[in-house]
Amino acid sequence: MKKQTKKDISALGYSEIKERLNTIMDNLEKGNVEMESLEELLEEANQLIQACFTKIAKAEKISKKWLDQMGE
Amino acid sequence: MSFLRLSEFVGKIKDTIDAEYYGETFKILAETTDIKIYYQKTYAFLKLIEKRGNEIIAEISASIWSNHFSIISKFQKETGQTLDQNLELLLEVEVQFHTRYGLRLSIVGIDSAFTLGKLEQQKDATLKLLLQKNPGFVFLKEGIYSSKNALTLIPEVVQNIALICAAGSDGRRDFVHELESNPWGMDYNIVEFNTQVQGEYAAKKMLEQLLKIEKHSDFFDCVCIVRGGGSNTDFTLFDDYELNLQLAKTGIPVFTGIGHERNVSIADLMASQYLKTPTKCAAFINEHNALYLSEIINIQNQMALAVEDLLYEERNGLEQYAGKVLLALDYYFKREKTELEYLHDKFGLMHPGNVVKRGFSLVRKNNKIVSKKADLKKDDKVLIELMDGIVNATITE
Repeated sequence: MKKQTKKDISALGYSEIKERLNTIMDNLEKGNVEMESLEELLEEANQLIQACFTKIAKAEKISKKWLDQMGE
Repeated sequence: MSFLRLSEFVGKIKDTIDAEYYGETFKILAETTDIKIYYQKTYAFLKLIEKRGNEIIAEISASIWSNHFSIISKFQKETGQTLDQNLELLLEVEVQFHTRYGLRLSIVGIDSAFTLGKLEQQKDATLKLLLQKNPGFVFLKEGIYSSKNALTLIPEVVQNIALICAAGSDGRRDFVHELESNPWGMDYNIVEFNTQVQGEYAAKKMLEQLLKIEKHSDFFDCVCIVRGGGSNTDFTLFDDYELNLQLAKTGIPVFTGIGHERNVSIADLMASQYLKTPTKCAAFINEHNALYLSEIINIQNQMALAVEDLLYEERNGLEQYAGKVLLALDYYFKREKTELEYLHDKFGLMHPGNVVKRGFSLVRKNNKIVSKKADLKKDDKVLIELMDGIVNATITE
């Protein structure tokens, strides 16, 4: 499986995070994981979950400039 | 020349009118106009008219006095309709004639059921028009109206919210409070698009805000239209044709929480989600997001179990392999041992000591076994090992 870098993960949307986690989960359940790459895979899963919780706990606020442009 | 003073004449008119109408109430159908409600003084003045086409064919002044002022709030609460201009109402009236102020009708009751029926008729007509003119955006399936907006996919997590509300209103406060006090620590980005939520231009203003939001549809996860309930509310704006057409077309899911228990407005039908109040609207968003979180946590838990299973299987496999290796080694060593024992026995028989025991003798010179004649010469000292002992000897020739 292609590994996501930390930067890639932070740019993922909620759907993509869930999709990626489901893929990892699917591979784990089917045993399609080499033991040598298990730790790396779990690290990626952990990063995905953390990214998700971080995004939910801190919404990206809209900039004042953008609001001004909208006339609000 | 005989004459009557004005007061006498007007008094006679009053007597005539009172004789015919005093103490009786009448039900009349009339349209309202020029309405002025004095909430602090608790009375209202208006005109009642009847039109034929655009022509007014009957007109009379009317009032709602303090002792019946509560019928206004009762009507508004029951119908969700502000007592306003150009409403056709079924009224209960008394005829009053004042010698100075003349003839007027005193309104003592407003038939809410009649108005509700009228509103339903209007709503039905608007829905049919929306469906007829916009079949790509408005649908009717199994007797239920919906719109393209209702089919819009709600994002997994709703976080960027375009909020259409009246600035500083109770509805806005309730909505934001419910979101911000969610127990899951979820953070929201709420951008307010303030507008009027009642009055003549409310639908137009709301439509403008909806169009503005549509321009930034990439940024927002949903549009929430909220308004607090209460008696002084007008819900007819949510049945407006143009507003609902735009709502049906909007590419971002629209959630309504417009605070009414009466019935469902067209905006509710066109929206992706219809909630009864602003608080319930916010609670829906919280719960929608919580569902996603619970899915992620569920995946996390399942993942832990899957890894445990994987490691268990791996360990099991290794243990089985180790067992096989041990068995193989055991077999190998046993076989080797047997072989060694055989060799030991075989070579043991050939041991010089055993050879001597079988009746042969060994000749040693300088502690080395002599096996060839050429290794010996005259006068060599040798030892002859026999079954029952060793003899020293000297080679004589």
